[in-house]
Amino acid sequence: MRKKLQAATLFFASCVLGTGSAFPHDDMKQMHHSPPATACNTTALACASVATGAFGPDGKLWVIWSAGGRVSVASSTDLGKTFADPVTLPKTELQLDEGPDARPKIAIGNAGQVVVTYASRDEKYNGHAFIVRSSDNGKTFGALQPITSGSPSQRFETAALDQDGRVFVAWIDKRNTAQAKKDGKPYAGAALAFAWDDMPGGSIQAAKIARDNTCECCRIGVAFAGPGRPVVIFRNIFEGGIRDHATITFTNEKTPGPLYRVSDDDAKIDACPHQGPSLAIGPDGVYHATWFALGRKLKGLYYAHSEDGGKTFSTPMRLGDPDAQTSRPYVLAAHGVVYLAYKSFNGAMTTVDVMTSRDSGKTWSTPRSVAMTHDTSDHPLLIVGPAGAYLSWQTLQEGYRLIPLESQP
Amino acid sequence: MRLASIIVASIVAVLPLAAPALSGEGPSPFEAATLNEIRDAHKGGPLIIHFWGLTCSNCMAELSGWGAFARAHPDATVVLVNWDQRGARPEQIGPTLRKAGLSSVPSYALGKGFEEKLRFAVSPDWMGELPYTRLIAGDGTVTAFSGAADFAELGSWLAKKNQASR
Repeated sequence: MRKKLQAATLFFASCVLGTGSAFPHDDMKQMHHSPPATACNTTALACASVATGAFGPDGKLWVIWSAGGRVSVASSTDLGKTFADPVTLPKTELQLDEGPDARPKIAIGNAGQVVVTYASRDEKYNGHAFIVRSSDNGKTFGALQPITSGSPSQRFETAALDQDGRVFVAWIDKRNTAQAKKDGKPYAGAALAFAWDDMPGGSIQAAKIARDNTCECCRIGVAFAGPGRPVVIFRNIFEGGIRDHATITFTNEKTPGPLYRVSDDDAKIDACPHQGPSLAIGPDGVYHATWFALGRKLKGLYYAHSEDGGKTFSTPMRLGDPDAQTSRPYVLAAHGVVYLAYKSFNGAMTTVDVMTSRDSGKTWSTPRSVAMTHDTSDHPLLIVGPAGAYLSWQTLQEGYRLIPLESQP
Repeated sequence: MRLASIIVASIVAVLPLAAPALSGEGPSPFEAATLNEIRDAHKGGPLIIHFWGLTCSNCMAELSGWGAFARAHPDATVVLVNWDQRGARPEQIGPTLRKAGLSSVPSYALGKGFEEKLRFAVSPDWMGELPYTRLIAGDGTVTAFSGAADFAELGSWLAKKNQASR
């Protein structure tokens, strides 16, 4: 019954919005008849298993994806209905990192600046992350540049632009893990490393370690508390091997501030959840965090907000249905609304649900299903452009979809 | 990644479906019905199904522990299922298990296609974390745990369940 209702709501939403991408009836039919895309091994977006969308300040949509062993990027001026010819980015010597939480990322600045990061992995599954830049609005890109030297492994690299257009890059680094091993000392996990990429002529600054002993198997989240003040959310390793989430807010561009715990999940577990957190900061300075918990106290998806720069967070709010594989939460704060998205699987199909808050995360709308698919899908991502907020979702059967999110009362 | 799944597909396509491959050979595909097939084949006795990944450092760290456990309990039914979704090199599964002393253990690898559906068939509340182990007693009772195994505890579970099914 609930599922039927969801489908009805969805169809209604697509009519109201009048968009071809939301979930029109014909697509539904086509979806059941389209052959499984097993032989899809070109570099086309249709063959991508992961695709990341982002808007430029001019409202142009950019999508970056990995397919056919390469990373490609394309832009769209009509919200993803049509794309300009894709640009295939420089090939990595080794195979691309295609772990469950890995994805190529893109950040678009003013004056034609486009910054892309992606990683490859070697035989021992060590990551090698690179940065590639364009200064002509994505027409051409420079050569691959390693994000750092002197490190055996870098993963989950994330580039983000602060309000002044400076590029901050953070990642999970294993240089101290390797050094400890060499010295015969114990070292849990890996380290959170960062560098600014704002040197004239395009070369990244030397890496610094913001925090030792962080979890090595999950993506990290980056937002900004102000210009030159990144905030990073990640799975930290607390005393006793507890892998709970934490934030670090930089006091200035060079100085990572104190570490604050987001929640006491009590994740005493030596397992790779392959599910990292997501962070957004509203114009009012409120931090919004969402994560997957695999602890003794909390298990499942949760959301919490902080009104004091991450020092304390609200009581975690449970998301989704624990018996429906609810996973991959994502948060966005834009145009006075906070959005949460996650996906669930009911045994037959995967649904993306969205919730909204108009009071900085204090109260939330009931979840609303905005998209579904009957086969493999990427993580649901939330992105914002000048015209509003969107779900950005790559699925095997439907390809790339950009679905507008009406803000709910 | 698609390429990887095609490689998996072409490797597993040549393997007979009914008889599970032993680790030394390379894995059989783990499809939606596989868990029930394994359970049917081992009805009445305790069964340990261990899900692991080449890309999971915690799994790799304890793999030789599983080898030692299997050697110490030759009468135990242990089944290994590789659950690397993407980015792993499937050709490494056989050699990795051989090296861990697990050549004689039946080995499967995540079938191609809809991972959520295959995982749901294992358990609706398994979130895909690795390592993950399901202990199935002779009477069908299931206990599951995520993270590293306590092999001493596993040994006593086995002894208790063996006794119960006799």
